[in-house]
Amino acid sequence: MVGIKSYGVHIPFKRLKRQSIAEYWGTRPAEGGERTIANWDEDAITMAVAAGMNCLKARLSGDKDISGLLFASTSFPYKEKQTAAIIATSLDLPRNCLTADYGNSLRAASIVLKSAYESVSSGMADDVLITAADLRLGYPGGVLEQIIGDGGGAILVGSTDVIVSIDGYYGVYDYFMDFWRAEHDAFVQSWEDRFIHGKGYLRVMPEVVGGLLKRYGLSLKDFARVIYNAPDARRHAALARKIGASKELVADHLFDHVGNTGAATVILSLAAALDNASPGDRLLLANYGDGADAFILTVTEEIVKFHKRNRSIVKPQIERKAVLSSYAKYLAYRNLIQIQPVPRPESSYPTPPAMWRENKEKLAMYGAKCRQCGTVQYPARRVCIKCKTRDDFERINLSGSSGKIFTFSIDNLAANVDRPGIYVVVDLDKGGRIQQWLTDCDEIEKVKIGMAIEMTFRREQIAGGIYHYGWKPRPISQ
Amino acid sequence: MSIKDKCAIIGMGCTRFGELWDKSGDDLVVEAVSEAVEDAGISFNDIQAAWIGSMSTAWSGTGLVYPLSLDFIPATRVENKCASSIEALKEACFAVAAGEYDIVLAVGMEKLKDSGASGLFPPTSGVPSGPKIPLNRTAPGSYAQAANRYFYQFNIDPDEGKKTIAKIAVKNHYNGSMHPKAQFQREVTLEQVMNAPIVSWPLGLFDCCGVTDGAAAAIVTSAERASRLAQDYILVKGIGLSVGAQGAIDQDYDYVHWEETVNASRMAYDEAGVNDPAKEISVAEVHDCFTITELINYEDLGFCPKGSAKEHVDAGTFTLKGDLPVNTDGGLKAFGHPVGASGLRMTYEIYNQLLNRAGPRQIKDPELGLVHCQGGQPGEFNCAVLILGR
Repeated sequence: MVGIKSYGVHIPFKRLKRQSIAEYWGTRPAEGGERTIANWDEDAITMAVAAGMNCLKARLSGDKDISGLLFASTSFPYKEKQTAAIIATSLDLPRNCLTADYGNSLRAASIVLKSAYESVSSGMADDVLITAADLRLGYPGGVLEQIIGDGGGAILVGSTDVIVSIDGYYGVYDYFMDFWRAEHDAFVQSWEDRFIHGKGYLRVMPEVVGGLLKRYGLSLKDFARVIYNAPDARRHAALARKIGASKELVADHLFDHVGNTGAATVILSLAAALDNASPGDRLLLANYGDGADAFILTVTEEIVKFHKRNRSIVKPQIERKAVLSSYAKYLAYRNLIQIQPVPRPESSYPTPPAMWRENKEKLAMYGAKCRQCGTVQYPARRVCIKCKTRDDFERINLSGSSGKIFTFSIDNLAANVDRPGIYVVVDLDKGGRIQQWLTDCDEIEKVKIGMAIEMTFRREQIAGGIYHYGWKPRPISQ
Repeated sequence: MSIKDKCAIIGMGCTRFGELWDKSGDDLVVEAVSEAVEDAGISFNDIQAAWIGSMSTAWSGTGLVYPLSLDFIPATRVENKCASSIEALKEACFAVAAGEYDIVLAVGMEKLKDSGASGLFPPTSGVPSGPKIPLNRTAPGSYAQAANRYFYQFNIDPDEGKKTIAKIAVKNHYNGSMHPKAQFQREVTLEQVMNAPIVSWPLGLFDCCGVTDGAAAAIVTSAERASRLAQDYILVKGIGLSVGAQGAIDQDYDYVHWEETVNASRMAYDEAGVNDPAKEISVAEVHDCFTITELINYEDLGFCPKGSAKEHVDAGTFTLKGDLPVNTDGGLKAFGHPVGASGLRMTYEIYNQLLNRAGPRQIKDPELGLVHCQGGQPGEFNCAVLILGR
């Protein structure tokens, strides 16, 4: 049986109420609720790594090698430079893991799911990790700016410990100008509302759902849940009416808390549905964008173990949040307004040879543990800081380590986009001490010596035309 | 082996410290060295070898030879962060003690204000590398970490702790108000310090030293030669230097004591024969880039037991009238901190104190003076300690 072994999400900590965006522009909110905002140090890559970590941590066992890392997005930081390789390095995946970027379509995640299913089914791959993340920009003041959310999702596909089997597929392609970004477009472009939804989404999705049901001789009554993406909440409901799905049958679209996370949308909705699924549930998963894909999924007995191990994947991340103090902060995070730089020279940045030497150390957060005295040191050293033994270390991965704040400062001079910066010294529970900026923390007064943290993958800077990433501590999620 | 009583400082000079928009780094070198040469009663041509300490302004020995037109003498630029000019003085002393030269020059100079930056700028050489140091770290951010940990470890209420270090700023501004070459010659009140804008809590604006242009210089000769000259001089009694770099990644590093200072002072005390610094040191110039720096250094230099600095600050031990006056010229806090020049500026004050030339700041009959420089930030320091006497 080939199917889903695990799933994970990354729902950014920061939120913006649609009402407050609308108030800023003097318009009416497009929908209620709030949208997620990727922190200033996040992008599609960091969100994919976070979702991937979340997914790998949740799996029932690490019985099989990860032989594929596939990344679906429409907002790759690089136009030329495979981002899946950066994600695989950061997740410390095996060297011979196949990496590939699947881009340019909001439907990319389901295309990846089909590829992953096929490569596992063929016996060419063991486990394949699918990641999807998007950070798309709507024009400031426009409706899409409110509808879009930032986020990432991940699915592990394999043939053991399967919690959801993949049992059927039907798909169509469709060339249709509803949403697009040409080479130099920073913001999502779209055609007139009534045309794109009426003649696009609401034409193609019923076609693909109907096609799937016909191919397998089923009707909607045979399903416990129908999960699908939509441009917005209104069209999500319109499709339900059009295909005759009751409210009870339709899965949560997450527009109230997250928004449309582009290529990641369908995984987030699926994850939310699986958090509440029971063994034997048959699910219909449909995904729209330049055509549509539809799958038949069946929840297995293994989901009981999965729920026992993880309780809920999505809910804790929805609940852990901080609403941005102003819309201007969002503009600054996305570099849509330029903020006053600090009066200091531009900081230096690692050159490609230095990056290459430190790939594992920096991206996968590998430190060294002295074989003689056991002291963990990060960054790795040649000579032990304690017993002075030379070149006798084992490598130790610290990216998954929790830790505690040893001391800290609240730095008003920090050149961070979010000021003041919270500058912390952290003792990792696996050993080693680091100095870093604390991220995802809005309550400065809660920062204390002894506070528990976990490590999260973030962008450190864009310099010399190169994106630089590393691990930062953040308050531990409860 | 010891440097004790082998070398003498026979002349010193120091420029006005401050935002010297109308002066170049070269001007500062000329002015500091001119005063030192005049004070020593020698001419430029008598200088046989020279060292210049500079963190990021002067490059190579030409940084000295060019402004002074001292072509063809052995000249070297040395760098050890904030301890750079003590490094220059140490090289000068070692060369004289080795008998290689009779009269040598040590200079410290930094021209920071041309950069337009608030705070320091890192040296540009070398490939930036390594995940050790987070991007955009600031000096006050690092030292505030030490302050927060110090308050925590010694169970000092943070507001009370802030008040304690504020008293150090008040003291240093008071001392600086009596020095015509200090960057800030204005007294401040405890309320002003406490209410100043926060830079990195608990450090407010007045807890931070200035960003400064300046230079200082010393003429060194052998003690034996100095004793034959009919002029004032002071003697080098001990030199210590200690560099540490593992603290930032070591879980045992406590942030409330700095081993580099402990170690450098122990070396210098041993050479000078000092057993009880709290009693034997008459006056000290201590690194005070931030007020918390001076507080912790009282303890690490052995001026008071670990954890007791607050009591001593409250009791006024380190004020001009106290048992062990510290930073009688205002320190980095009020005199300013042109990184590579600070060590020799401190030496200049101890020189003047020991020779009874310190005017309104004069300590009564000082015997031994101490200079302490500390480069770096918690986790990695370059600390130098110098003991001077008559």
